[in-house]
Amino acid sequence: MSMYPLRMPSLSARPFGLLRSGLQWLRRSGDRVQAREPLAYCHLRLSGSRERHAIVPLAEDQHDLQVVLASPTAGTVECHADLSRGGYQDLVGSTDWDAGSIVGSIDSSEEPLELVALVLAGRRGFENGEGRGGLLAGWHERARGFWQGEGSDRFGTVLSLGTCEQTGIFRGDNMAFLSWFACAPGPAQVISIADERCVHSSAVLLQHIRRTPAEAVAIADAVQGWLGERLQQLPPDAFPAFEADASKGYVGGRWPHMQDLLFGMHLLGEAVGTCPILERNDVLTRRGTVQLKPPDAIALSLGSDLAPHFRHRRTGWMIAIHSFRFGDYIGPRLLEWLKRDFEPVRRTVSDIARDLAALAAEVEARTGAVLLVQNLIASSAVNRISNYAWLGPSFSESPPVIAAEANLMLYDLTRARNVSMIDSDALAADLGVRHVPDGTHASRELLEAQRGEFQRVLRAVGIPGF
Amino acid sequence: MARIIRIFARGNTDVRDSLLWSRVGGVLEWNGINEVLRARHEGVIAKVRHETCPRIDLIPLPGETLCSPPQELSRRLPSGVHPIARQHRSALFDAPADVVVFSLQSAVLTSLARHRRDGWLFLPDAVDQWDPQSRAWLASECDNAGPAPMEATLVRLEQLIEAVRERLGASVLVYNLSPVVPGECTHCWLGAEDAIGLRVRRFNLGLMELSMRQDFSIVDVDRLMACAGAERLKVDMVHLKAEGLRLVAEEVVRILEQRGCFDATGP
Repeated sequence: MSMYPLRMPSLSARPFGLLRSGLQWLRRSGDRVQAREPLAYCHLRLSGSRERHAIVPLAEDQHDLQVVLASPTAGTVECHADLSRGGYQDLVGSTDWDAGSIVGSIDSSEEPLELVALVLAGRRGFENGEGRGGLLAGWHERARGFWQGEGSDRFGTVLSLGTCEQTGIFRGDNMAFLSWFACAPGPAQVISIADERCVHSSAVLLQHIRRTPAEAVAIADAVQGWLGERLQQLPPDAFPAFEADASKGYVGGRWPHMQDLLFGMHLLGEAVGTCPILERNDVLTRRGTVQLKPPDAIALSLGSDLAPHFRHRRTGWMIAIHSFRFGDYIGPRLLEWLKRDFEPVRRTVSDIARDLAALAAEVEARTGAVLLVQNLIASSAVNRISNYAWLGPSFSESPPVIAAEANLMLYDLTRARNVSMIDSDALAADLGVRHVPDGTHASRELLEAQRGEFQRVLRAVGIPGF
Repeated sequence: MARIIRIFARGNTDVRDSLLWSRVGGVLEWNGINEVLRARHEGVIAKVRHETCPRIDLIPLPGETLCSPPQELSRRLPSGVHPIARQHRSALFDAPADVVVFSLQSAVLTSLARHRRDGWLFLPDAVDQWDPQSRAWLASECDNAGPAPMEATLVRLEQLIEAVRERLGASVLVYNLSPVVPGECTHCWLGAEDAIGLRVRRFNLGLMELSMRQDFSIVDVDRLMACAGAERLKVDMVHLKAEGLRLVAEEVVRILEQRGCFDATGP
């Protein structure tokens, strides 16, 4: 064993410059680490003239760019702690990227290559909303992790559009894609778009990917109309902070009418923005920025299709929102809007099958991507039903029946060329459904099994980098 | 004096292993439903009468005589655990019973042979151990009739359940199957036949739908394995480890409790 230097990796934003903050160490000197285990991270910033270049790379992620530096090999590390400057200097990129600089050392049987870089990029839901801190801190309506690794082939990209079950699988405990980075050689990119705004069901995505400019204008008109109406019809007590008895103090400071207005704007923003299935993304590589083609694989949750759906009566705009978001999350006024201007859509398993099949065909024609659909965990420790007669007419709507029918439908759908199933039901049954007591939120062990299955299927369908 | 619960069980490994016993390599792994009853219902004993089940559609209804192989042939052909002479007969309706147990296992897994000329079905059990003459006869006289179609199987099962209720007044329990197959990891069924796991899921759903119409209880082996972890409890597609068998037997007892089979007045 010998001590070898750990060097900053090559990374470039050419034609822009790249600035980095001080290092924030994740491990201490003397720690034993594994290959690809993160040692430190820093924040990145692009530098250069925006006037000279019409297109700014990573423009939508530029305020939350970070790089995680990982060990290229297993060994015991010595960290140059003085490279951490503390305070805001460890939060904002201010010095040039210094490929080749020595940041520590590692005892190893052979001289390692440079540190391995994982770049994290968060697209803020509200650009001005600073949320600096740890890895990918703050709310991002899209989060990405990409790494070139030791490879030089094209990047493979997987996009997660599923429900919260996929947040754990794709972003992991640390919310920073470290579990994927640890085992996928690269070049690879993992993108996660959560369902805080609109649930990405097959019906919602199918409409989005087929949306025309005229339809986008109609949706914008509909939302604008409601927002204007809302602001015009504020009740007399709309500003409690300025009530007479609040002059010396008031419980709570947030304007109570803000949330449903913001939520309406976010629904609009997502509906008339680019469908994420079609989005091209910039990545940083050793030689500069590269624009990738749209994702190679789209991960969906079958559970998304069971969320409540609403269709705008005038425009036909379809949205899906988890029922738990009503109330505390988005306020009663939005619910009133849904009741008045939207109609609830009851979707059968046949409807879901039709929409998923149409989405698969549309995606195949547009980008050639494959769909990886996570099935429902049908088994439940709660539903000890030995005879279903007591359910009467509600039999077909009972959760165990819907789950069984939907999973069978998904099996049949995988006979299409670009649809694969992630059999979460079988994985949960293998380990025991105590690992997922509510049918959705899994333990770390089950999440790891599901993540492993996604990776196995990505390799099986030939997506590079995984 | 012990109270006797009379259980008539027509099924294969799942039913026999959980209700009667499971031996592996000569070692008794699980000693049946009475292990559970001893702990939970002192003074109650289950007397289990067990018949193997080549397939559900070979269980005759009362008064029905199924088209079957000639006696001479039945005696001549080798038999495994499914004697050919008894495949189309059952003692199900011959004696009173408190509980009747069926299973989907044979319907899901078993393919029968059909005699080309006379049309009767039968299960050539352990055919790999048959002598060459018998195998030659099978090849020259019979076709593979394939696995049971789901709709017809469930119709037959419904008829049997109705007949049991009318003739015996017994509680009916039907085992479903756990679809988890160790090592199965198909993610795309493009151009593929249904795998066993998929067929199990279809039958399990069909059984749920049947339970809407008929008063019987599903022994939800699928849920039991999933709750406790199939990886830990299953040996293969159909064989359970002792812990799994105990869970199934406990579920049978729980269902019988719910159906009032242990009440003072009986089922």
